Amino acid sequence: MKKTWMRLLTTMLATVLLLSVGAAAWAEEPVTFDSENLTWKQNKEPVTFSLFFNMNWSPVDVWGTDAVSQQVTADTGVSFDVIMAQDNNHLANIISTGDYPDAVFVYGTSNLQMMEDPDISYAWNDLIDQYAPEMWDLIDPSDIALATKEDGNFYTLYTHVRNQEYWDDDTQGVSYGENVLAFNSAMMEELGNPEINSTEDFYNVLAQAKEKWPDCIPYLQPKDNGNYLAFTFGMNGAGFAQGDTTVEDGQAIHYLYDREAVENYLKFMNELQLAGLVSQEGLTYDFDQEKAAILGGNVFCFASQAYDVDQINTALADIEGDGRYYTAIDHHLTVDGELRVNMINGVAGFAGFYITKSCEDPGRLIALMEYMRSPYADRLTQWGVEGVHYEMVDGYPVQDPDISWKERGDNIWYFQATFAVENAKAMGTAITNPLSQVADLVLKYKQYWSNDTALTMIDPAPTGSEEADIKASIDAMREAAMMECIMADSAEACQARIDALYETLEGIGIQQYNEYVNTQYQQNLQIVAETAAKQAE
Amino acid sequence: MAQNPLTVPRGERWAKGYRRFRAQGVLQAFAIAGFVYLLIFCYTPMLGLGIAFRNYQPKMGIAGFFTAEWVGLKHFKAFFGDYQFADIMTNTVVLSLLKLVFSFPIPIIFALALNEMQHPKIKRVVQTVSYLPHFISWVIVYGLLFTLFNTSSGMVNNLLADLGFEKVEILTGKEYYWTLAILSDIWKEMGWWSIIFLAAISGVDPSQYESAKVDGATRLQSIWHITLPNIRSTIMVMLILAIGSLLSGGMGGSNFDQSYLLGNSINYSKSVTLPYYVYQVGLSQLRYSYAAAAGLFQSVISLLLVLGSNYASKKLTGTGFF
Repeated sequence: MKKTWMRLLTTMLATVLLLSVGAAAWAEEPVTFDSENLTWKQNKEPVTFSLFFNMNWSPVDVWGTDAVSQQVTADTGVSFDVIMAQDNNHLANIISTGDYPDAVFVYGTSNLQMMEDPDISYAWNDLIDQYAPEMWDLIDPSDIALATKEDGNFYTLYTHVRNQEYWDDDTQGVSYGENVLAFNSAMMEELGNPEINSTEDFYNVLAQAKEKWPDCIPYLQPKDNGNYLAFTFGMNGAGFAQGDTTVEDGQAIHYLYDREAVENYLKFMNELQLAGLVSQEGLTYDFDQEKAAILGGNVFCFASQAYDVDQINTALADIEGDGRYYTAIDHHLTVDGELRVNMINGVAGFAGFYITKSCEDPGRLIALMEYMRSPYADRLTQWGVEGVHYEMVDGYPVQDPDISWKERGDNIWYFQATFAVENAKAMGTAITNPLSQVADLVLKYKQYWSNDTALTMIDPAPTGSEEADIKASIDAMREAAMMECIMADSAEACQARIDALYETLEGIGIQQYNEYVNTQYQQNLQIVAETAAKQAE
Repeated sequence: MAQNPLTVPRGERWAKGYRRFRAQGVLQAFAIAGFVYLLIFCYTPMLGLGIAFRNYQPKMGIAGFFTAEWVGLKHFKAFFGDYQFADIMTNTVVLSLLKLVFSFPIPIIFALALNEMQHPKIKRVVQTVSYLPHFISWVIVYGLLFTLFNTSSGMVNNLLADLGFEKVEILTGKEYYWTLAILSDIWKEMGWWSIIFLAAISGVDPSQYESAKVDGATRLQSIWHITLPNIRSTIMVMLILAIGSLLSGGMGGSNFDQSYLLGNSINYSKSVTLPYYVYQVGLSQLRYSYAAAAGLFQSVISLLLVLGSNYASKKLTGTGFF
């Protein structure tokens, strides 16, 4: 009898052990985007959601009319009724009526901020727990840290995130929107191709050009993407994508608070203006106006995005035949013998996809996000369909130029796009264009950048708060006030206007704003350290 | 003997009123349509004015008009204390007054000139050509001005350069903004507003001109002594309306469009006006309450201007709205 009990006990123990080992083995099987048990693969019933969308540049605003959206529907069963934003206030108007669509895909700080609200959007962490728990294994914790708000929830995961891994990878270039300076190649040759390594060299070569060609525009710096010189003087945050906050001596500050950099930049621009070396009107140009002026034929040097130099050369080639008409310099200039450029990545990402509280089936949308985060969907939504819209050449996608963007539908429904996949497309474009400079430039300029994850995690001040009002006042005054300094009719007047600018900034309350962002920054530093420690475990 | 209305029973008075209303059915329908329009588009939105005194956020919805935190005059104080306030008000008031001084008389003079034109065909062509710019949006007007005056390829600046003169930064020079704004406003609206004055002139009894001619009056004397006095009430009504919308840019209401399109970061200190500021700081940055406070300030000033000009007009000419 005792033996029987012992045998039974042993059998039971063995069974429990075997089950435990089996369960452990099953549990340890890593979840990948190829796993069969992913939530999005379990339900592909056709379903349609409403979607608000503010990418106004998109050539498509109806789901299902382009190849990418058709493929997404074929893969997942999900379709959208799209509401395209009519203006910048459209989302705010929708929110004020309380009649939300099922989903919102938007970019722009104020739009993201509006949607990151528990009364308006579902927290993705709750939806993942409830509908797609395996998804936790498919998300980089640093992406979650970037999107997590003060209440401990994240309401989206941002697109085009550049995490530390990206910054450490030398084969990954910076954005093709990098601000550069480009010089007219033929004119430079006539001047003997002088070296341009410092701001003094830059001033001198503009002066030479002005002397040799009195009717030319020596330097054209547009209002958009004309920040190369600001960066050269050490101003950070001056660009479209760089937010307003930078780090100085371990403290987060509004970038205008770095007075030395701002003052030196403004004084240098004032010198150019007084010497007639920069086009006054050009300072107000958008890219189309800048391009028209350059194609007009008498611009010696211009500031733009790296990608735009290629665009302008291509446009000139259409008019005058192949040739590299403008060549961008592949480095930053020194100021008084030292390299002052100090560009710190300060943005978490580009756009966010939000699932609103009006959505009756949030499980399907969080499952769609699981699909969208896969490398396959990332490429599909940013490059198109492989073999139809692009071929891989040397590891980069080269798109068929005969198929229109509208037909392909790439870079429109890219709800969880990564930066690396976007940049690879720019590289692919460069491969097909022998005159292209962008691929080289984005790699060369990477050296001037650093990343600060804690900085990227700073949340904008909530609407209606004193700090938000301060920032709004600074935003409203900075462009015109800086232009006043540049347009001053003497160096003394420029200095007086700079003093007035800083007096105004103090009056508006820039110190209070600095305290607000720095408090968050110091907290974020701790979170980043804790996340890194957890990852190391 | 007529019955004293006060002694007529109330029910009978209502019935009588209803019968009169029915008899005027078609006309009353027009009045009701106008009343409903005003109610929906002018009076109902005024419920939202309360947000100027509250900390309103878009997510609060319509209920937020009444439930958002009450902050009293906080947004007004912030607006009056804004470092740009002086520039904004100077530009708005001075530019608007200049527009009134220059833009208001020109349609009258133009209408008088057209009225004196002897060739009907030429008159029609001139009138049509002159009012067409009214239908062109300010975006197109800016495009035309850019094509004419930009320094890299603008026709005017190219001509100046070819003649040996320096190019002029018309589009960005602070000193040119007001001139550019006034002239473009006149060009765009002159023909349109002259239609009203032409209509008023056409109502003048021709026998007055014939009598004047018999008495040996010159054409200028006829204009001065017959035409202008006859259209005085129209001029006064238009003037009161123009003064009422003074802060928006007078009859053309062009302050916002011009600030938005012709303004830029270089001429900002001369081009920023109140309507544009409301848009820029209020709506673009989603500071709805602040925008409502600045907008309400503009409305109150405009109301005072209408009341003031109406009072002055009645005192001076006997003509007014109410």
